[in-house]
Amino acid sequence: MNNYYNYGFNSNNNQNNTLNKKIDNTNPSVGFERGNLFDNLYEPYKNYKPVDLNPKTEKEYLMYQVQMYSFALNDLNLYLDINPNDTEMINLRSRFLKEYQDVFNQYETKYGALGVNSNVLNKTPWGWDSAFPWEVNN
Amino acid sequence: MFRYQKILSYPVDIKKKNLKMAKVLVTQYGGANGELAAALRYLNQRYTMPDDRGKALLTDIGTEELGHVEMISTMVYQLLKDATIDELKKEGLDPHYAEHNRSIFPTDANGIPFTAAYFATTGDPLADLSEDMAAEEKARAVYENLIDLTDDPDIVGPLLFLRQREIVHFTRFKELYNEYKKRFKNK
Repeated sequence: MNNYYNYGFNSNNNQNNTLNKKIDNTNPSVGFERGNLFDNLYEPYKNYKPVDLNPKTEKEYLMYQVQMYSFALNDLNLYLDINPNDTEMINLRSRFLKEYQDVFNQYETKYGALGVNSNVLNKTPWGWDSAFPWEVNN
Repeated sequence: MFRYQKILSYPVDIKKKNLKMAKVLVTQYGGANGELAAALRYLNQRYTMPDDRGKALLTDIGTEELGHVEMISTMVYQLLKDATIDELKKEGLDPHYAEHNRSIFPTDANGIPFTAAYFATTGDPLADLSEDMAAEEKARAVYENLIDLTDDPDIVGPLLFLRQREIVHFTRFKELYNEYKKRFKNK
């Protein structure tokens, strides 16, 4: 029903819009690390490979998961803006949303608020004024 | 409305300061094809998109771009953070220091300050979406130029990620453009 485009410089005429199988069956880590959930849209630059992010601590791992599901939800969001009748993708989004909320809550409970309206800020002293993401080792 | 979350779109953790890269990378903050221009262009154009689909896509890509502004800002900040006066002078950043110390400031790689002219809004959805498609392609090209200029994996990783987002955004804008083109032709 939909047209998909492959504007790579190595266009391979692959017009399918299938998600990466690994993404579909487990989680969107491949899509997140390369910045693109959609196999048919992925265009590497020269022979560069996406960085293996490899989180080391539990905190890094939870943040990686928050970022990964947040990314996946956004990429599906843009797709659904153009393809609003794709039930399969809407269902995939529901699954990712559940995972996202789960890891988001886990992160906030263990390491502090990610948003200012968080329940974990209901205590003294006020805990919002810390851990800004542009600082290294946060 | 917009609400802040303390989450980078993709991890940025640059361990080595690099003033040369800070000086050129800043163009993806404040240059004509940078993330700030993209975010504000789409968020500015969205009001006059002809249907809710267009309003949704421009709102959502514009919002994502705000996250990319934060990523690039973080990179420039980390690259500049521990620079000594001598190092700043050596890399020709003494004018930057004079005006801004070690803060970040939106300019292109030649130091030309950000301007609202980069929004390039006409109110014609086909013209605006063509502008947006071109902007994504130009941003992709600039990311490739920047990747060519460094071999620090802490810099290359986020740049590869951001470059890939330009490709996805280009495709979505193109899909919307084609739909509008068909519809407006039949009117």
